[in-house]
Amino acid sequence: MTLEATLLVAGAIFAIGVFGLLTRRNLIMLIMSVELMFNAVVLAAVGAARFTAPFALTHGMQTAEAGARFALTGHILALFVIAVVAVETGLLLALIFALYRRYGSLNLSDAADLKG
Amino acid sequence: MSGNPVIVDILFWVFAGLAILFGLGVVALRDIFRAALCLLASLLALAALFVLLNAEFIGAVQVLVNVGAVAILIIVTIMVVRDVAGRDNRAKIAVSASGFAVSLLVMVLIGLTAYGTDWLLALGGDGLGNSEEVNAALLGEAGVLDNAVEATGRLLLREFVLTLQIVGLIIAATVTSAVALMRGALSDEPLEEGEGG
Repeated sequence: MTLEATLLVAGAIFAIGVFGLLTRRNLIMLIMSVELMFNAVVLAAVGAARFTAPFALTHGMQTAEAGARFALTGHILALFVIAVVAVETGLLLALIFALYRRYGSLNLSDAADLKG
Repeated sequence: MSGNPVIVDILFWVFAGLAILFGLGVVALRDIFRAALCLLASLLALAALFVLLNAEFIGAVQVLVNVGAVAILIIVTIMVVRDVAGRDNRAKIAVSASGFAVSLLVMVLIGLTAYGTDWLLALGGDGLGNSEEVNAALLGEAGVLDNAVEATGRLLLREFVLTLQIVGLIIAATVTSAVALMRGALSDEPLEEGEGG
């Protein structure tokens, strides 16, 4: 368990999300792919917080609070991302309901009214 | 999580494998309901990874928010629009192939960056390893990550209070938009007598 391994796992999950986003046409599938990508970012942030903390403790940050600030910034980022993703998913699902009422379909290609 | 490093290592790879496997299930399965269940399992595996990475609080938040709320919200949406949700035309081979190529490129680039960067040098260090002493200061009794919840709360309400307020504002705006969208969507259909708008 190293920083590199954590980042590699996060990268793999992010790439899976990219694949889903590019190949699926169903709106709910797109939301799930984006959800995967966001969670990969959270994993990278948490991993970075875990493995860069030793640096904080040995390089001039002798007080526990300074070390904690350095080490826990990744956790704070993870918290914010999780919170924003949750409401963003709610908004997207509301949008899906609206589109479903309008087009009777969840396929991206059917909602092409704005096509120039 | 402090414990036998070998067991922690094994658990890390097991849960990482599960997260990737179920993630593949999300994008590969045709049945959208099963894909949603795979997403739920993948998020749970990620929560386990967070716990292994000494972020127990983030793991709990992940279970509560992402598994408990977001995944369930997606599943409820699938059930409501079930008649069309299952329909997902198979992507053309060209689209699938280019999507696969792009995601592979992303993965390779991230992997190269992860393994090609000297992270401690990037931080300004001088090749410090994960020594016993450092790990004890980090994870041991009263280590930095030992009481992370309290320290996170302090940080949130001191250094990051402005960010917290802005995120609160974003959440309020987003929820308001979602409610407005839903009202608009619902008012399109003819109201039954006695039903309020």
